[in-house]
Amino acid sequence: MNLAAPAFLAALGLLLPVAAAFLVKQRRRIVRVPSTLLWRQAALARSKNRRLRDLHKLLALAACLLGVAALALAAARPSFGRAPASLVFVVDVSASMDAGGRTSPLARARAELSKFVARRPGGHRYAVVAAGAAPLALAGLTDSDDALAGAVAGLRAERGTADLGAAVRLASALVAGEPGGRVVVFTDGVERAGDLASESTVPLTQRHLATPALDNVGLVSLSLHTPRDSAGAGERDLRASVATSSARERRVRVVVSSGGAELARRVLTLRPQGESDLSLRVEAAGAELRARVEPDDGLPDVLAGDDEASVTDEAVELPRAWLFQHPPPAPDEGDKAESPDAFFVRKALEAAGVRDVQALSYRSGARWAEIRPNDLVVTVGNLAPYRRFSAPTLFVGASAGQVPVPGLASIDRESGRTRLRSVESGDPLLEGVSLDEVTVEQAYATKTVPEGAKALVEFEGGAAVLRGGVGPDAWVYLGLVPTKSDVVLRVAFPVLVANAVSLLSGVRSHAVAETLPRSEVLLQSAPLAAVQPEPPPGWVPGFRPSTLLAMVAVALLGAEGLAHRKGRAQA
Amino acid sequence: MSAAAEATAAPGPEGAAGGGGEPFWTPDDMAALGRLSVLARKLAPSLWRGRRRARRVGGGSELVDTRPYALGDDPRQIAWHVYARLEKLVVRVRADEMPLRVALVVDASASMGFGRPSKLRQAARVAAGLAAVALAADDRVAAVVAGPEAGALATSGGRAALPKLLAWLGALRPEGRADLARAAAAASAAARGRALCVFVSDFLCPEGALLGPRAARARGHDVALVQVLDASELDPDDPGDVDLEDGETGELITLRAGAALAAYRAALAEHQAALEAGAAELGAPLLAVRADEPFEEVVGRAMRRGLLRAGGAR
Repeated sequence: MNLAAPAFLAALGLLLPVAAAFLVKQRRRIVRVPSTLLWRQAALARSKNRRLRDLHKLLALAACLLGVAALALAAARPSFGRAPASLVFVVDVSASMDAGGRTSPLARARAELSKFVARRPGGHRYAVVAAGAAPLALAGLTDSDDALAGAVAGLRAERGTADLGAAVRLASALVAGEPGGRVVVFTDGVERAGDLASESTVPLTQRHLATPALDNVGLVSLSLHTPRDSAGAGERDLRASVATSSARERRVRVVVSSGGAELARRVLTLRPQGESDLSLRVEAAGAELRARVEPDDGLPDVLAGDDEASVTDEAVELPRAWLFQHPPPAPDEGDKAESPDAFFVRKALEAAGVRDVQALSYRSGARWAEIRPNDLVVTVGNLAPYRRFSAPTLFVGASAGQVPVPGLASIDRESGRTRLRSVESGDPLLEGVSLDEVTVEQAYATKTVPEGAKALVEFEGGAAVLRGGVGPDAWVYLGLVPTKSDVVLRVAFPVLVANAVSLLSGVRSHAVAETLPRSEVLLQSAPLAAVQPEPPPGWVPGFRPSTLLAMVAVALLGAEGLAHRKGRAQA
Repeated sequence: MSAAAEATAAPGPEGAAGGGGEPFWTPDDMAALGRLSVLARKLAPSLWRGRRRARRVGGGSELVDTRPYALGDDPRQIAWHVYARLEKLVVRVRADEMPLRVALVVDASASMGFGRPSKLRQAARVAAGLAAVALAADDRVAAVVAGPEAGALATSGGRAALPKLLAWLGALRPEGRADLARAAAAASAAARGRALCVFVSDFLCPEGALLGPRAARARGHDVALVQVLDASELDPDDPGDVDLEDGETGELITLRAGAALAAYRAALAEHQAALEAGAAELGAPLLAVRADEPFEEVVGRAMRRGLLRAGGAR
């Protein structure tokens, strides 16, 4: 038996005065009378006979002694027959955890943790890790209640997303080799719904704190683009997306300002749990633009961290882009004909600020020699060119040809399932891009990430978005087929393409503000999948030995009190 | 221990009715008893001849009337001197004479063993006195003890029966609890007919003081009650900070300090009032006797209460 607070065993000394009080009370003199019939009205207590009364007194004494002993033992917080455990509490501190004020998931997590720490069985050691954009161990494995309470109090929501995978890896490293090691994740399950258990080398338990259904509006993207048809050098297109978690239609006000001066004010109507886009042409050469979302319908907005974003114009001239499409257009369609996939990609390139987009196909092989290392090649279609050009390349929906990604497999989802998961949400390619909730019918993914490459987005267990290489050999691979997904209908697609162009060419035609992911703004909560369901040791409240002992003590003392009262009432 | 408690507790339930071989009465008491008789309201038919005149016509010694002779009349009852004077046959009509049946129910429960002398001793003395009076008047007496078992002494009559009855009463020991209702049934059987049931008890029965007398009344008997209480019960001292144990049931009570005596006195008054009311309802004389009360005083109060009367039986 381990005792968390053995000092409370000193309270067992109370047994002596209790026993003494009983013995003194029992020493009353007994006088025999012919009949007690007439004395009953003056009776304080009655019992059937001396033997029964002695038995009652003995039972009362035993109940009181046992009750006091159980209380003292309960205060010492014992744990029976349980090996010491080492638990690491990973607490999601992403922005959505702060939604709901006093009943927010983070507040609930803090309350539960405080209770859990207060009831820590003896010999158990805990650690606390805050899972933000980068994991932070607020308390290493310790048995100090003060250190743990300080760590719990230090949990604060960040203004971004959480990298739970990294946090779980850090947590499992903290308890690696420790007896009874276990990771317990507190999360609202908003930003990641993947297989966290695979990140952990020790058993993992998830405590899912569902986000309450609340009204929230927020910016999910904000970017500045250099328009192709700009009249002046300072003209920029500002694009913003606003989303809501409300179950009713919302009206919001978007205020764009620069240097404290209001440039524009627009009112948008949002469908329930939907989003709406805003496009403005503004004069913003080199300026910092700030966009702010405010409710225009008097309804609440529970999350403040997603209401404002700023972006600074850094646009410069982008290189020429060669758009290679397969299959090529039919001879009778002319060189300018393009497939629907190519159409969406060209539009995205133009939106990204690429002024010169040249069409290529296997039919126009003569022009391949015109490609320069400073240019940008974009391939669209399942068959990429049979040779690599000496220029940075963006592959869209390619599965054959000179594709730098091996082992690509087509994953078809007729029902349009969504299983995209950003595994590197902080990568520049995914800046301002939220692929959550994207409906995918067909995509290409690989389970083999080539050396030097980086998997950025997973789809059905494989990597669907990757990037690698440097200089003219740099490449970005998008496994999504534009027309087999609704991604082209979202702001995310042009931003993703613009990010790819910037990354491959080394220059930026656009500037993207740092905003919260769409799922954070929508407060969409989902339990983590594939985590081990069994609770950690001592997790279930109400069955801890101390609680049980306290209940026994209260029952014993209560029963004694009731019996005493009943005896007096009978008298 | 307070004086009252000492007095109550000292003799204990071992206070037998015999009183260490001491006689129940003095010679003066005996002489006084010889001039008394038990007052009876009703007489029941009996095969035994007694000295109490019945309402019906019978073979007694007292002439109540004459009537013309009819065929079948006892020729011994013909008044020949009337025939000599009137030349008409006339027979003498005499009243019937029968004895009173007296059933004595003596409570010998453990609570009767308290007091100095014990309540049982006084109860036995009262019962013996009543038996002596009844037997002297040619009445029939049966005795029943109300203890754990209802033992009975069958009906007997005549002065010769008195020593046997006294020996039986002297052998009574206080023990257990009294079941007066069962004793009433036993008394009914022992009396062999309607009788005067005299209950001699302290009437401190948790089940109900008048359970036995009511049962006897329901069987058609006349009932008389003799309550024997000890002085420590009638006027106790404050018991102080003690627990009281019932001598009969073993019940243990813890007294409320300070208010116990006042509450007891109120309860006693209430109990006595209820007993008197119950006795009146049954049409039974109630004689309250202290355990240490002199016998002549008991006899005097028994006469005032209508249980005994001076003179022979009629």
